Amino acid sequence: MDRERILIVEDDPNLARVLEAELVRSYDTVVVSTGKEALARAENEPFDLIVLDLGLPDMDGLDVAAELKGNRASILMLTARADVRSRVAGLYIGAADYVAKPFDMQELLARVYAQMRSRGRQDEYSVGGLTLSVLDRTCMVGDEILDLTAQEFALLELLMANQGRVFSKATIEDRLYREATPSSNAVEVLVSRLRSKLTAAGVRGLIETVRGLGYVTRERD
Amino acid sequence: MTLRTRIGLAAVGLTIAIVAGFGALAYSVFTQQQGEQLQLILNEDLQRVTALLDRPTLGASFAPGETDGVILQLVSPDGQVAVDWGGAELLPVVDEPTLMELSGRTYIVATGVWPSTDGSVRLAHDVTAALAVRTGLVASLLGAAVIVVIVAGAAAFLAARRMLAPLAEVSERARSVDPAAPAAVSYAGPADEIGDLVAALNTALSAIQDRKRAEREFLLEVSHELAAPLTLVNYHLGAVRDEHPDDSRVRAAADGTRELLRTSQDLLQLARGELERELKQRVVDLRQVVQRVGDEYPEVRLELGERLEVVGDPERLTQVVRNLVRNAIQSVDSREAVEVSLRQDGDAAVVSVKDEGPGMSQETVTRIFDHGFSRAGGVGVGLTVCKRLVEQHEGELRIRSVLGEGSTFEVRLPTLAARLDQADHADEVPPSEATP
Repeated sequence: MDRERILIVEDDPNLARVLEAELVRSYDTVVVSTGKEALARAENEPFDLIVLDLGLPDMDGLDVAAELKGNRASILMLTARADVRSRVAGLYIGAADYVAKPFDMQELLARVYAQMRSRGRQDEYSVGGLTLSVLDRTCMVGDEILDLTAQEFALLELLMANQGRVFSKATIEDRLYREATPSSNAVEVLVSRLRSKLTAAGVRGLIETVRGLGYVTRERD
Repeated sequence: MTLRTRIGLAAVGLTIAIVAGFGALAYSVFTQQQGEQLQLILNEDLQRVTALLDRPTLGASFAPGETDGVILQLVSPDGQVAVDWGGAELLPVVDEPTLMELSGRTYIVATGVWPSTDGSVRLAHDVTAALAVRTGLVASLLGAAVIVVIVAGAAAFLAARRMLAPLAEVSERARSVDPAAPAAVSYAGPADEIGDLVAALNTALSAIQDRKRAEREFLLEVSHELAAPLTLVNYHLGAVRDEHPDDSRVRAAADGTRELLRTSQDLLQLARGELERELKQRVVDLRQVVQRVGDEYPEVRLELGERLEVVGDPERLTQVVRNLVRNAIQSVDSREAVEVSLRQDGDAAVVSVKDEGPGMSQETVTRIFDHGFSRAGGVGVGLTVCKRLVEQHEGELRIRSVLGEGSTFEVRLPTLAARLDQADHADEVPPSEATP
């Protein structure tokens, strides 16, 4: 299997060297020191992750992130100017995650691994006898096909692809209803419909409610 | 005394003064005109009497009948009273009409010339009743004045209250200004004195906010300068320590740098307002969190029980436990004297960080989260961050401490089980009876 590729955009040469030294153990890395170079490289080569310093000499890191929005790579922002405003802007522009300087290298690496893991979208998820096949969009319980609507499938995929993560209703709305604004209880209705279909097929307790927070599908050993 | 009371009282005082002035003026005008009127009538009567006496047919034989309230005396030049009608005593000679008391009643007296003799005509009118009207007038004026003062006073108090209401409203808003982010006070009223006051207040608030922002920018600027070198030093020293595990100086330097990094992270988190942001919630096994901190501080004793799940942000929870451990280590001589344990207590998952340090007095415990308060040697920033993070997780941070025996910091978080909605499973049969 090919190694995943990371573009490191960092103008501090010492920090860039350290980042590269650590990341090159597990990934193919390319290091650039300016926003322009970063954009040029990202346009011509495929990357899985871009570690992007916000304080670049030639461009604002946020502008770089904005231009990279359509890129297939995830963005991990690196900044000392990490006030709430830039964080919100960064996440809005599409940065996947964010690490504030000063940081402990182990923590940065953990974030990089987490990003790579969540990017590694599987084609198939299996939990407790239920198999979700993302490619042909089918949901199997044992040998039976469970008939799901597109939205029910999307919700199940979201929860199963991020097992252990608690999704608020607002986040689910955000992910599932990109264009139209759904009615206030659309998510609740969707969850309850999906649950009764799962229960009817013999799959129980897959989607749980965390009071005051949202819904979760727990990892099962 | 409130401004409203003062304005009301001033209005009442002013009304009293005005009413009194008008009353006095009205009274004096009335009495003067009435006096003139009485004199005029008396003089006309006197002229008529003299004219009648001048007629030859009448002469000295003039003898009027009984008339009430009038005294007429004709006095010859030698002082003999020729006619005395209604008089008890001799009226005095006066140059102009004069008021005088005669046998308990008030008369106005005038003197004329008795034609064809050198004697005098002395005439008096009883004006007791007319003068009594003046007393009645005073009473009426006073009554009217009292009513006017009461009505005007009440109106003044109500008007003052109404006019000062916006002021009270502005005070209320000013009191609720958040000291952390002093936003402008909103006021929709006209640009009068109150409007001016609000504008001045808002100018001051915005200046304070600008200043705060500038200080924050400065801090972030400084942190930017320090962040990269600190990251590098920490990284390289860590690597050197790993290469020379037996060199105590390298280890001390590496550990110190790591603490510096953690403290900077806490400070910056507070300064950047990051603790207010939403958490990334996951199902977290606290054992892993405690184990991770234990790996960072290998000398610390761990007491891990069963798998214990809560909902939260794993990194933030790690930060909480790490900060408590760092805090405990600062207070003890030997790191072996710190123990982290994990247990379940009903619906709460409890992480205890226990040290056998000097302990704290009750006073110190209650003050430990005060802003800027620091425990001997250590800065309170880590604990402040801890408390905020625990509260963000809907948990509770408890402290037990006895002087001379050590301290226990307890993080209590609701367990995942306690937060799961059991209604989800209510209509389900137990898994063992489910279809295979």
